[in-house]
Amino acid sequence: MANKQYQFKLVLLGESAVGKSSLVLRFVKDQFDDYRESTIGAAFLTQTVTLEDQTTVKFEIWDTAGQERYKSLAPMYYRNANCAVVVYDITQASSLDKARTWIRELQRQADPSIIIALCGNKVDLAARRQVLQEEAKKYAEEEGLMWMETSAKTGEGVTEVFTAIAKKLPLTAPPPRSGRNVAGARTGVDLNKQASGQGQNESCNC
Amino acid sequence: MSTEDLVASFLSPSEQVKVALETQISSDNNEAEVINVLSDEKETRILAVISHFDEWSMTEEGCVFVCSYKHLNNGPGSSKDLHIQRAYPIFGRFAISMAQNRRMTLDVRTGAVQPAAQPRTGFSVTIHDPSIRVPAHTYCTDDVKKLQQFVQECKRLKELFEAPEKTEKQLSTQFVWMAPYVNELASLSDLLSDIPPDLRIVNEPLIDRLSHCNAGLPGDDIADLRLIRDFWIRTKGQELCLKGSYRLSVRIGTFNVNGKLPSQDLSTWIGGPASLPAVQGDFPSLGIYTDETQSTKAPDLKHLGPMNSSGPCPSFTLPRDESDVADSGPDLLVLGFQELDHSAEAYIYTTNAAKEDAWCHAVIAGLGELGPRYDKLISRQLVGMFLVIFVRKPVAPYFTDVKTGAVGAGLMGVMGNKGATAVRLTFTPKQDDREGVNTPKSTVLTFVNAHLAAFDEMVDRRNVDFHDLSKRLIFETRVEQEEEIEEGIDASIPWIGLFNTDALFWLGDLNYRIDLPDIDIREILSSKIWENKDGIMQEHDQLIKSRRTGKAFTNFHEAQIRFPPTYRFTPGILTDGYNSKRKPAWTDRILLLAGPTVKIRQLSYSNHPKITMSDHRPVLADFEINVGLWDIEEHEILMHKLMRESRHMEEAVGRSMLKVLTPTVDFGKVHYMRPAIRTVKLQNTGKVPTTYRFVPIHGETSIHPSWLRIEPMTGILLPDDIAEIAFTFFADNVAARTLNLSERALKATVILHSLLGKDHFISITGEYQYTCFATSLERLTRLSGPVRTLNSPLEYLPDHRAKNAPREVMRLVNWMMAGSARVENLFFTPAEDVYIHSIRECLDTGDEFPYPPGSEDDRIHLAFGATLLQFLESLSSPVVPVFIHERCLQATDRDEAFESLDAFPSSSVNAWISITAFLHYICRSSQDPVLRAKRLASVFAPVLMREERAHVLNPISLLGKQRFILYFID
Repeated sequence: MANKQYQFKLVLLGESAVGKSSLVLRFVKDQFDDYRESTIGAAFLTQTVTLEDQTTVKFEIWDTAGQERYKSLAPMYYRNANCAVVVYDITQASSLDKARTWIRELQRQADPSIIIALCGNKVDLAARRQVLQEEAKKYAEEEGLMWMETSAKTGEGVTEVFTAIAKKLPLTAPPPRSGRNVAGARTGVDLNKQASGQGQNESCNC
Repeated sequence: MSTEDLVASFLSPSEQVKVALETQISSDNNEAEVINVLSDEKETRILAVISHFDEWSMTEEGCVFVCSYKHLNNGPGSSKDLHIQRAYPIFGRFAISMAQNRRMTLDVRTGAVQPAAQPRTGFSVTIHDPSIRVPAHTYCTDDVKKLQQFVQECKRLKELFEAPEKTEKQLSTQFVWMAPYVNELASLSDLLSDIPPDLRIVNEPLIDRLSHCNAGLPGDDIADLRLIRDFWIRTKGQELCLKGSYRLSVRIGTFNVNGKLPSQDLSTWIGGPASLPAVQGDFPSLGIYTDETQSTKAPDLKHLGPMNSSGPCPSFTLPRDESDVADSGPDLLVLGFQELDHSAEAYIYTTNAAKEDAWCHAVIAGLGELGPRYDKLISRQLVGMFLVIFVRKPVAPYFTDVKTGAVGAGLMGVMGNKGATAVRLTFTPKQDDREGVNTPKSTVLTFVNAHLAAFDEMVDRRNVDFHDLSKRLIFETRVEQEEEIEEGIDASIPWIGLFNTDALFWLGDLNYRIDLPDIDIREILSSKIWENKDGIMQEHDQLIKSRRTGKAFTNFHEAQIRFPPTYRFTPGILTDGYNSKRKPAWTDRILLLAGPTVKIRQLSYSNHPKITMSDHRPVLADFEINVGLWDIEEHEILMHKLMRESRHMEEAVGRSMLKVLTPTVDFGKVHYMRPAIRTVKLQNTGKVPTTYRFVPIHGETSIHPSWLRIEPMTGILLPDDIAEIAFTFFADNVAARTLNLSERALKATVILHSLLGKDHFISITGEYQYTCFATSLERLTRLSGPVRTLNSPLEYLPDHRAKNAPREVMRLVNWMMAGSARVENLFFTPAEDVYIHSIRECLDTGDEFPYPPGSEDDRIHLAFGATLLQFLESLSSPVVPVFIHERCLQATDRDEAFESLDAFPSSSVNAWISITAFLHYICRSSQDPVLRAKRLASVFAPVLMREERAHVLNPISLLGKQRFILYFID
């Protein structure tokens, strides 16, 4: 029997140096780099998760730059995203504030059906913890977000975050897998919605 | 190295070579060799079974590649090269049949295997493609053992594919892994085709040909990758193979003869201008062409293309007897006639040999003593349109494969009263001419002689005619089955498009008119007052406007016209008098569209008023065409090599290998009209080639702000390559109008997208130096001080404290009041930029001018005059707003003119009064005040009462504007 395959767009947001790129690297390649250069841009990666019922979910992941100066470009990357992982650093209280800002922005600007996961990274540094689990969890519950803590360094919780999201995604209408053209295939995204959202101006784009 | 290893060396790692079988092409094969067989290897074909295992679906698929050897036959160190010629996916109707055939001959050449050891029998293998449209091919081999393996592998893969559990597979996933190889085959057959690519596409910037995309929404990266790669291979292939160039001289003329027979000596026309090199400076070569009609010139950016590189490549001329001064004519003389025949029969019978002959004889006669040195190469007539090409006898053998075409565009779109005839020539340098070039590459030149729809108001019809002719003018190809099959070219193309050429010359009576009132044109033409009369009228020329707005002749080049309109005269009268029935116009034109394989310099563009037999005057242009010299074989091998070097780019998915070494660009202090350049470096730190392009942030916006240029916008980096991208800040009037109202600190981010990979952000900063140019008079009167002293661009004085005129205008006028009047050519003679810059800088900063008023140096006065004119031209809206032009022109005397000042905006009134008062003052002190006033009014009319180009549908009379200004200054 052929497996059901789905494809979804996922975007990572959060303050600079909270470990967004490290989370993705751990998830996609199961690697960790102690000294990663800060992302200046947006990296595109893909990874597939197989669920218990043999359904596979392929994530198209956009890992964005966290630096403040590039904040204005973020909407380009989270538009049409099906899910977002907003990351904070449990050893930096200010990074949770920043995460709240991102979440507010997503709730206002992104697709209303977007699934947001709040993710506290660097639990391997629990000794220097500044953000209490209760505090973050309470906030997540209030806002209706998924919440978990991870360590990109040890790998703790990383796969779980993505699997949990995959389970929560609306797995209807199985899209076919479409060959090599990974970036071109945007199955799991409602293209009609995008067209109508841009209204009449769409024609100039053709 | 085994054959298997050799094949494996050019495959992706995901593919495996199962068997590689060496064969010879069968003699009774339809794949007959056209090249002279020099060695066995030319007939050798490697049949390789390739298998691909897909980990995602856990399936194996196979294909057969047919490969041939290529050798670079210069030097002993040359290595063998394999090129894929064919690829057969193993599925469906794919089949292999074998037969034993008796060998008829023995190989007795020296070095061959001993005759006794040669097997007396061989096997032939025939491969049937899954698609029945492709004919089967047969190959011979003696290697029975390998043949068995080969057949077994094919059988195994076919069975594997047909296994029942595999049939559920999505069809779209089948054989996708073969795509790069098949794409390469398709690309290579395009790249190596002897039919040049479409010039319209070639002349469009590569970035505009790529898919639409923006940040976070990639386009079709795979298709873009191929476009960028093919462009790179083409450019690089030509660059590396260029051996030199041939210089061809071509003279082109066009003449609407109004049904007349030749009754005058044509030598004053086709003999060319008296002194050729005198006008060279006015006609830049195409490689560095900038549109002279643009009011502000952008800095020259780095151009790609081998013919633009000024390397040490030698340049060759065609055979010519240098000792014979008479042997000086052009290599080709191309003449286009229109209205050759007015007779009614001409519309029914398409040729009239008698008239044709009469004109050809007149041309030969017109060449004088050069006449006998020319032969008619080809001609094509369609009713009145007649295109004929004469060739200098010694160079005639260089031109082959001559094709002609003709299309009517007149009544009902088919009658031949309007339309075009065309000739396509192939120029091939002689094989024995240059060492190292055994098979020189050909260059195609195409000439179109067109007659487009007449009448002033028919400009849209003419534009439609152009597009119609572009589409319908085609050339038939001779069908040479064998060649095409061997090279893998699609044999189904029975014709070649007009634009599939290396250079296209479009001449004829194009019938475009001038959008100015008839009286204006006649007055400007006959008057001695108007400076740069051709330039002023060309602003309103329909062809130039159509070209500029992309309605027709997009990307074509035309040299600046420096001759009076060529239509319409009363035949037979040698005067400048234009016929009163038609508005004078530049109907007769010669345009050019060229690709990167040639470099063309236009040496002249002129009319010939002494030929008075028609109601048109003939036009002539001389061109020097530098045709690149390449060796086809070497070129082909290099193309394959480049293709292989750039392979595996598709594997780059998700790997970030492109590193931006300079992620920030700081321009420092930047000024209006002063370009500043910074370099951004990229490095490919990965192991496979990588491709980049810039992408816009939003779908609707451009890739970068208007003050920034980026060159190149696309590129390929091989592993370890470092590329440099030039970022140029340049604020022209349009960009400065925005910058003057923005924050001083420039901030922008551009996005460099590595295909199938990351988006890289490059942030750009700088400090813009405000200028009083390119803003509005209204704003200048409201500023609290010179622009450079402002903290914010919006630091305005309260309404009641606004100045009554911009201080900048007053400063310029005041300076000139003291002594500039004596400089008679003030405002007429160009000034030196260095002085203009320094004057402008003082206006911006508020500093004192470094030049005392009443200077002895005329150059300073001229610079002040030029600065004033440039300032007025740069204003975001003209001193007299467009909406009151009509009202101004209704004034019939001085009083009415002054009354119309009531309608002026308050910021304009005083600027207008001070400028016209100053002009009045310098007229009074002139020896001929009336003449000077008229001349000054003609210079200031288009500046003070400027019209934006978008509004020129119904232009206001220039003469009227001049008259209005005269009420103030005379």
